[in-house]
Amino acid sequence: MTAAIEDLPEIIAKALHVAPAQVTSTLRMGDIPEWDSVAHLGLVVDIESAYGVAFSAEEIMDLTSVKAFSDRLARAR
Amino acid sequence: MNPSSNSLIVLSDKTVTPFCRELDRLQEAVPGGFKVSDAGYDSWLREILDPNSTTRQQTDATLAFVLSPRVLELPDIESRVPEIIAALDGLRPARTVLFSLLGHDPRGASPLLNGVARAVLAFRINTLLADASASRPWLRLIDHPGLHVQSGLAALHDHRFEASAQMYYSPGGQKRLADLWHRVLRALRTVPAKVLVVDLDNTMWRGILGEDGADGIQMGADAAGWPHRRLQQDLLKLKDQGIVLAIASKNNREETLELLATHPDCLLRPGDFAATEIHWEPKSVSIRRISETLGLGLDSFVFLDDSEFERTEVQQALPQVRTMSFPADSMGLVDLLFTETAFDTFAVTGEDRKRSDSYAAEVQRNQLRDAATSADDFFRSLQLSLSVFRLTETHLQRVHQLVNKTNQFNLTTERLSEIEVRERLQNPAWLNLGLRVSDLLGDSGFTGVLFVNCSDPRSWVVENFLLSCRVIGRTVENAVVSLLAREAANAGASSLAFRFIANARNAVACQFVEHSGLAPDSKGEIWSLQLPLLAGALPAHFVDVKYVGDQ
Repeated sequence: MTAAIEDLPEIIAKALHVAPAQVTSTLRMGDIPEWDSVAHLGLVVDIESAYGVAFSAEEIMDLTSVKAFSDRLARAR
Repeated sequence: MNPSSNSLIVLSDKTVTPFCRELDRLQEAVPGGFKVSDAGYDSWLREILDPNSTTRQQTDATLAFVLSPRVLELPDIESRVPEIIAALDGLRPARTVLFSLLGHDPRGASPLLNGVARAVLAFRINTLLADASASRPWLRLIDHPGLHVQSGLAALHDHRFEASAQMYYSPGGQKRLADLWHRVLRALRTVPAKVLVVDLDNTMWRGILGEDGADGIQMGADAAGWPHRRLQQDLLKLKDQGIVLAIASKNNREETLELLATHPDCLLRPGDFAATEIHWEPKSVSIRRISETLGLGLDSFVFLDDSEFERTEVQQALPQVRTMSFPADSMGLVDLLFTETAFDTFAVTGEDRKRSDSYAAEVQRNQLRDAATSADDFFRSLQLSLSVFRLTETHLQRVHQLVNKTNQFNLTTERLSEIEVRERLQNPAWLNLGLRVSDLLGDSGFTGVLFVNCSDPRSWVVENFLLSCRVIGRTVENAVVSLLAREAANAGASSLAFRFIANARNAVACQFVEHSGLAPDSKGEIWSLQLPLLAGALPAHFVDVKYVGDQ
């Protein structure tokens, strides 16, 4: 049982230890101090396990916004 | 303790920022927890070998070497270990260093050949570190290889993160690593529990003695008895490291003791327990009685029982006792004491190993006391002997332990870090003495400390005096005052003073200062004697005192 796309902001908020309201659809890595390149890696792992996907090393470096993640996850459906 | 001494610098060969953040988050939730900082990727050798590194200049920080298996790929790493240890030895002032043992990653070309070579290399380096740690109480080793085996490398490492961020340990692996180090840091800061009170039926063995009989209960190497047997083995290990074992069981006493003494599969014998409460009274009553018999506070007690009813009863009546949860499946007993943190400790001293036996002797002493016709008669019958020796750095570990563990007979209850203890021991203006007490029932070992500030040769000041609760109440404390008064007078001092700070836990020390012939100042903080002493100025003692000086 994997998570729904709509749950993504909540999953991101939890992984970054921030309030869900901070995770808007336009949020990108670097916009908030909690989402830096190190926290990003933890975020990747949490999204992978929530959605049962595995990103390539290149994708990990490219998927640096809420929109990029949701587009990538939508394609995986 | 130094207010800034809660800083921890993490040094690594790889990127461990997620580890540092997670550990910092875990520590933040703990009172007095460490503030964790990250020295950065590949910082470990530079920071320790460069005499001007920022790490070396932060003299109050604890250092944590969090190393990955990639260290084994560095050229000449084995021959560099002594250089690294020498650099740590050279840190001034000395500080606590936590160093991970190296695990090996067998993956790579020619695994049959290189896997073995890496395993052997890791073993050799770990042996060098273990040898170094054995003579350096400030150097503690952390079992990374154990975590590797437990979690498996697949759960700790992920090529993608090593490729993209120089992380050997994956984000998930760094979380597990942080959990391990959090437990380690907890053990640095907390005093381990001293007593484990265990139930018998369905805890020490499978079955109920009163129903299944001595032949029906199981604790052998077969399936049903096996986890209970493993638990008994673990309990013996705890006893060896100084945890006092006691029984609280609802059974017929004679029958149960007979079984413990004679059952061929039982590893624990009656002599392994310092107290045996076997009857039908509530377990909270038993535990309270054990606490009184041993003279140990209930907050140093842990209770293990399979019955939820008994656990709840103890939890409600004695919330200060740590009641362990009991596994639903008895196989869980095998890991029970592995996951329990209450007994976590880094150092086990010779005194720790003897503690359990010495509490058993204390129970016999109480029986002698009950049989004696007077207090003096009892003290004489004990044939008490006290030897007093000068403390040196070789005693550091035990002195540090006594200073921080002793509550009841501790004139100030001031706690000192290992570094502060070392500074005292090195101070030539102080007379620092250790006390060793024995009687006809046994040697209680190194159980007392005196820090005497002799900077002013005319008036000696005892900055602190503490005695383990195992030896108080036998006039040893009076013998110490007499000896010290004599030594001070011989050295030309005209007064001997004791600093005293009253608090909630050292009522025993308070009684001592009030009944030792000492006169208080107006605040009751300095209690002194004028020298030379008049005859009869001090209370009597029944102790054969030997001042052995250097030992």
